[in-house]
Amino acid sequence: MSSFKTPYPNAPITEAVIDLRVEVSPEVSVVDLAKVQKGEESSYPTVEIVNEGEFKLVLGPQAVANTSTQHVGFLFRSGDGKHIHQARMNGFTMSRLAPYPRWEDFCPEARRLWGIYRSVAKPSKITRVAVRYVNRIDIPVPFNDFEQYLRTVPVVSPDLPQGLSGYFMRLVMPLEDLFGSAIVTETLVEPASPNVVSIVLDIDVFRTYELPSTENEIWALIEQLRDAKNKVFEGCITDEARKLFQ
Amino acid sequence: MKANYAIHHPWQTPGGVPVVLALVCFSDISYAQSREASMVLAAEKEARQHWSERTEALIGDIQSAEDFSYSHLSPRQVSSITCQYKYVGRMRPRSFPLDE
Repeated sequence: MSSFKTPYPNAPITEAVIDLRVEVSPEVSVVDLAKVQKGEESSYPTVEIVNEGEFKLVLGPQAVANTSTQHVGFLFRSGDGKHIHQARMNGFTMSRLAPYPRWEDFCPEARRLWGIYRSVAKPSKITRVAVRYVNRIDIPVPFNDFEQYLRTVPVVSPDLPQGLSGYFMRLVMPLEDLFGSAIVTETLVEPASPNVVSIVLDIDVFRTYELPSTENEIWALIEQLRDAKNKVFEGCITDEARKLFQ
Repeated sequence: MKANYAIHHPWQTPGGVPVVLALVCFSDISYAQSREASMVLAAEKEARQHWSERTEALIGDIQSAEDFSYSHLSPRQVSSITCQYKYVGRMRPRSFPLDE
């Protein structure tokens, strides 16, 4: 059993996301989604339009490229800009930016706003449920090896130079007990300060089939996805990294 | 000379329907909103572009490979003879002396 205190006092979480993809009712239009803000104007005073674009290249005897942009929903920001939720034609997303408070604060707010979205969008079907956490781990320099801090890193042959000035790694792992998957994305990013090397560890745990339909079952699944995310996170870091978060 | 099977366009199904080779979606606001999530997205785009550039070269190779000329192989030579039969009448048993 780990001797480290969790939740970590200085957790490296830069963003927590709860994301539900849906098929909305056919009689609901994108304009209707603006109603999600009704009564929430003081908590989420900023509204932005969400557009989605598509670039399609069809290769045949003659290549044809098409681009299109479509208004798909709205984004609402809280006064301090830390809470953001999106109401789109393809789903609902709740984000919490750093500093991350606690799951017990974040999750109920997401559930409350989902309830409003659900009453407006009247989704006929839920197609994907996800919990995503974006972490930035600032490793103090100098250090010898990424493996001092991370247990999931690119393996470089000992016959090659061991220095890395950049890497991007994306792993998709099935989580059989959850009927879901975890996408782990790890990349070097611009350092937060000159005396650290910053690595983003992005964990997206989701399920796309055998999805529940009742509210309680949906949120029980989200709890399970969050537990799975924690396991993946703990599996990716070393005790040396845990010391950084205390 | 091209063999018939080499004339089809590589990006068409047998029914002649063009194949959508690339379908790339972009969004002005991604589902995650943080600066770090944008960095991940940028790194992913860079990796995708890197992959795409190399794939284009590969597709070019596939296309040129599909555009080959058919090399005729001569059939194996065999020997033959021509013969003609001529009717000369009904056959009759030859007679042989019994003491031979």
